[in-house]
Amino acid sequence: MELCGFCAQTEKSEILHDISFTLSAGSTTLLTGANGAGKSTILRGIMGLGGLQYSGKILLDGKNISKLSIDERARSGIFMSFQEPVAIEGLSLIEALRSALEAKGEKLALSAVKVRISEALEKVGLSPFIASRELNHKLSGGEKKKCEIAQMLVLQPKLVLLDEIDSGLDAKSCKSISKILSNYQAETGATYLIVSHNLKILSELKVDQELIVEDGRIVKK
Amino acid sequence: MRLRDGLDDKIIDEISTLKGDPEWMRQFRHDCLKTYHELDFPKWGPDLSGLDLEHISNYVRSSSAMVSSWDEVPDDIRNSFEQLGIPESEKGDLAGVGAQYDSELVYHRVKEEASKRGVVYLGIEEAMKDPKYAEIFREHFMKLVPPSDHKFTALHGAVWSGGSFVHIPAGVSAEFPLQSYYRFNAPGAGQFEHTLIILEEGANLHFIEGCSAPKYNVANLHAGCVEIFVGKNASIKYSTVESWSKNMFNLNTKRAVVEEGGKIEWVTGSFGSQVSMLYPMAILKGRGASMEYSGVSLAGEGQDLDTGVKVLHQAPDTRSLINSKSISKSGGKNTFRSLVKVLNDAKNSRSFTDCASLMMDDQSHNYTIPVFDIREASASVAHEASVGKISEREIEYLCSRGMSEDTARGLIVRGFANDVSKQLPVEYAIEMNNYLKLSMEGNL
Repeated sequence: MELCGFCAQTEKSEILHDISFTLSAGSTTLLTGANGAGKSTILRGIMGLGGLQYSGKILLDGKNISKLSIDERARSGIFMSFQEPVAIEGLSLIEALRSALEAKGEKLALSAVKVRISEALEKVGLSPFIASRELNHKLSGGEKKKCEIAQMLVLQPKLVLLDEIDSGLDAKSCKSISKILSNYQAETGATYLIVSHNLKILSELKVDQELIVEDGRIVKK
Repeated sequence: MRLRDGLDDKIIDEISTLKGDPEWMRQFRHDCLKTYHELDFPKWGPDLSGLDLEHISNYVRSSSAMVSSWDEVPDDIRNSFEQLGIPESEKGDLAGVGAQYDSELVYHRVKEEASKRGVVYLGIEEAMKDPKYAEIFREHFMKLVPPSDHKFTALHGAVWSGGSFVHIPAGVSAEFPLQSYYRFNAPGAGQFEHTLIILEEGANLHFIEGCSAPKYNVANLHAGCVEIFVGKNASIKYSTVESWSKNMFNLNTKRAVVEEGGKIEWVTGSFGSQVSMLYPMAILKGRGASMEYSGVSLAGEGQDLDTGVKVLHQAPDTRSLINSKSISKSGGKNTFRSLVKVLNDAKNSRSFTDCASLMMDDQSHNYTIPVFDIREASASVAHEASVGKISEREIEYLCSRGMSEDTARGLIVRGFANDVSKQLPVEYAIEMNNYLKLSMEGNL
C-alpha cells in the first residue's frame, strides 16, 4: 500500500499534511508520536472513516482506492482494529460477521460461521459463547481488543490497521496477541500498520519500518 | 360478491341475511349502526381525513365457501396464501390454522390432536350458530369491547364478518400455537373480523395473527376486534405480525381481561398501513394478574403509526411490563402512546414501561406519550424512555467489516428490535426480521 500526498482536514483546518509512505507487502510498520499527533487519523483516513475531508492518493496493489466507500475498502482487503470498538445492541457477533462474509461473497450456513468465529475467539483467549452475545457488549477494554483480532482472523484481510490494539491488554495477553499476529502474517503475508504506545505488542513481530508523526506530518522514517 | 359502498340499515340487513345471523345479532348490528352515527371521529391522533366511509364497501366475499382442505380453496386465493407460506407453516408446529380472504374465512382447521384435548378453534360464525357454543358466544361477544367504545368499534359491531372463536377448557394447554391469517384483497373495502378467545382456569395458548394486503390507490379500512377472556391462572401469548399495505387505515381494537394469577402477553410487530391506531389493552382484574407487552413499530415514508398499550391494574399484586421499540425512517411518523392506570386498592401493584425510539434520518418523527394514572400509594410504577438517532459510529464500524451501509443500518435496526422479535417463534421472528430488512431497503 502506498499513501501519496495524503491530507485530512476539517472545515477550519488541515490535520494531516502531505503524508506519503509505502508499506511493502507482508511488512510491519509502526506509527509513533505524541497524543494528538495524527496517528489514528492516518489509520482512519486509510479506512475512509467519516468526520474529515481527505485528499491525496491511497494505492492498494497499485489501484487508487481513495474514492471507495468504507465497505468497498474493507472488501478490497483492509481491516481496522478500532481504538474503541462500538457495542451494538441486539446484534450478535455471529450475525455481524455472517453479513460481513456474505458481503465478501462467502455465503455460509450459520453453523459454519459459528464454527469459524468460535475457533477464532478461542484462539485469542475468549469464550466461544461471546459469538452469540451482543457485539462488544459487557466486554472489558482488553476483551474488546481480543474480539477485534478474532474478527480479523475470520475475515482474513491483507492490510491490517491496528489502532492501539494493546491498550487494555495485560502483559500476558499482549504477548499472546503479538504471537497470533505474527503467525497470521506468516500464514497469509498480511501487512500491518500499527499505532501503539506499548511496544510489548511488537514482541513477536519484526518491525520493518517506523514512522514518527508530529503535528500531522511524518517527521522521520 | 361485493356490497355497494356506504352504510345504512338496508346494507346492515343485507349483511345480516347473507351471514344467516340469529335475530338478536341482526338487532345488535342495527343498534351498533345507530351508535356509529352518534359518535364522532377521534379528535386526537393521526389524520383520518383520507378515510371516506361513504366510499368503502363493508362486505366483500369471494365465491369460495369455508373449507378445511387447502385443495378445495380456489387456486387464486390458495396461491396468495401459499406465497405467504401459510399452508406450509400449518404442516409444522401449529395446532390449527384459519385463513380469511376479504370478509369471509376461506379455510379453518384444527389438528385432531388438539381437538381431542378439547381445544375449540372455529370460524366465529360457526360458533355463533352452533347450539353448543351459541350461548357462550353471546355471553362474551363485544362485552369486553363495547360498541360504544369508539366510532370504529361501533362500525365493527354493525358490519363484523369473519374471524375466529377459540375456547380452551380448564387445565388444557394448547401446546402448539393457533394461527389466523387475514388477507385483504379488495380495493376500497373494509375488513372487520372478530376474534373471541376464552381460556378457562389454568388453560394455556399461543395465538398468532398475521395480516397482509396488496396495495391499491384507494383507502382500505381494517377495524377488527379481539376480545380475550383469561381465566384464573390461565395464560395466553397473542402475537401479531402486521404488514398491511400502505393504503390501509388500521383501526383495530384488542382487549383482554385477566383473572387471578392469569397472564396476557402481547407481542406486536407493526410494519404496514398508512395510518394505524392500535392500543391493545389488558384489564388486570384478579389478584396477581399480569400483562407483558413487547412491540416494535416501523414507520416509513407516508406512514403515521400511532400505537401503544393500555393496562388497568384493578386488583392487588398485579404486574405489567411494557417494552416498546419504535423506528422511523424516510419521513415516517411513529407515536407510542401508553396508559398505565392503577386503581385504588390495587395494592403492591408493579408496572414498568420502557420505550425506546430510533430515528434513521432528520426527516422522520418519533413521539412518546406515556400516561400514568396512579391512585394507589403502595403501587410501584417506573418509566424509562429514550429517543435517539441511528449512530454513525455503529454504521461505520459495521461497514469497516465489509457490509454496505444499507445492510449495516438493517442490522442495527434488527438488533434494536431484537428483544421483541425473540419473543416470537423462530419462523415468525425470521418473518419479522425480513419485514425489517425489506422496509429498511425500501422494498415494502
